[in-house]
Amino acid sequence: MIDAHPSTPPAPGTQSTAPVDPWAARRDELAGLLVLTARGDRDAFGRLYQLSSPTLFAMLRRLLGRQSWAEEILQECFVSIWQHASRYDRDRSAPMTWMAAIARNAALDLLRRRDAGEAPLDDEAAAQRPDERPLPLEALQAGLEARRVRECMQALPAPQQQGLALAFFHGMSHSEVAEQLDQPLGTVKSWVRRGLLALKACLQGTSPPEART
Amino acid sequence: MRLRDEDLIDRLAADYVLGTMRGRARARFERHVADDARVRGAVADWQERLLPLASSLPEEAPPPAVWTAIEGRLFGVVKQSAPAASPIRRPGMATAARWWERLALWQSVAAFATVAAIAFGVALLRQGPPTAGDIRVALLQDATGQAGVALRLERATDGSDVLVARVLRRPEAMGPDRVIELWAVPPAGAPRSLGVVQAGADAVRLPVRDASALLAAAALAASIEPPGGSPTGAPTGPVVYQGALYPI
Repeated sequence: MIDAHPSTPPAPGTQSTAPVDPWAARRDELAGLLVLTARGDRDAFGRLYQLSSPTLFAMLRRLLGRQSWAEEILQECFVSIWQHASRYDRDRSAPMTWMAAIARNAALDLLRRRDAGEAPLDDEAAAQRPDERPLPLEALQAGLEARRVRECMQALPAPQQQGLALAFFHGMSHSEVAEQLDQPLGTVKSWVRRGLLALKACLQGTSPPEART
Repeated sequence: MRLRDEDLIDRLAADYVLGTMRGRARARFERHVADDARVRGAVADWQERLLPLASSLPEEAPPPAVWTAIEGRLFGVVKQSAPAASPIRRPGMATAARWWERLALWQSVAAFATVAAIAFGVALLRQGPPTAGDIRVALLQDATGQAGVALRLERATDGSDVLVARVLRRPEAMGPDRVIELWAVPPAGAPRSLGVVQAGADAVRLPVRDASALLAAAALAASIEPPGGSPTGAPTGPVVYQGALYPI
């Protein structure tokens, strides 16, 4: 075994044996860690990383389609979390939602710069992107924990589900989804729009807003 | 400028959070988010609706180098064990970390998988003839922990060392004419090829010239290569499986 063992917090993944939904089960713990992080507590920040980075990394890897980009954006994301933790308001949003929003915004910004030609899409990325993509329905079915949104998602007609999943999990634009599914752009836009509206209605119908996690 | 229409705000916020809003529209909308509390509220609502979907993905531990880099940037902590050039580079820089640098670091966290891997590897590999020397096994896994290749290093009766490789699962993205090439990743330096599992074969016996180098390897890996193996002597295709040797 090499001695490159990282210092204090990581070895992420060594702790949890059973899949845990960090959105729900650890909401209070994560919120508390964010409050401590805002006060400059490095140990709390390390623990926060340990608990939340495996979910965020999984999301970023699919979104960006490339391991090294996901690592870079995860790094950006936690630097940002350390710097802006004082803005987190536990009464307004779940901690994982807040952190996932930071991660997704950074990732989508990178995709936007790539679209604009400001970030290179090199050969490795071009070669890996299609390979690494699981089918969106498989991704959806893989160990779903966020039950309510899953149930609502599964209630959607398959094309709407697929459109939403390709956009959400794989960071595809409308036109990329259209290309992937071999459908006209207008059709895909309408699937995504109707899917979002149906999802909203379903989520609102099943529980009051204050019960959100 | 303010967005007036509630439905429009809701629609744009949904597109923004879903990620389908791209390009200049995204940058423009972010100004509304900054300026307008109603827009912020609509975005927050959509985040609460959609982002929990991300928890449906199986967790994936990031490589330890990411945390090292975060500590380095925020607290100026420098790890002695880290190579002089950090394997983490900024997105704008085209050069990706050489995969084997990341791999060696990865290995230290992947150790948690060893117990299961050894048990599984032993069960799979305890089929050959009895051997004279130490036996080592490795189970090479993909990023989700699925076993792809089982390896056994054994000493043949004539004293030569042999690496037995058995393909348990072909990578999904692998073309029919592609081969799996096996690599030993030393603690420092470039990976060395161990040999190729030909297309269509599910097991192979590879002669090992320098078993001590193999035992000293920080990690073993498998990549997808063109027929005959990598034309360059270094992996050219995606690295699909990795693991380390353990004594049994």
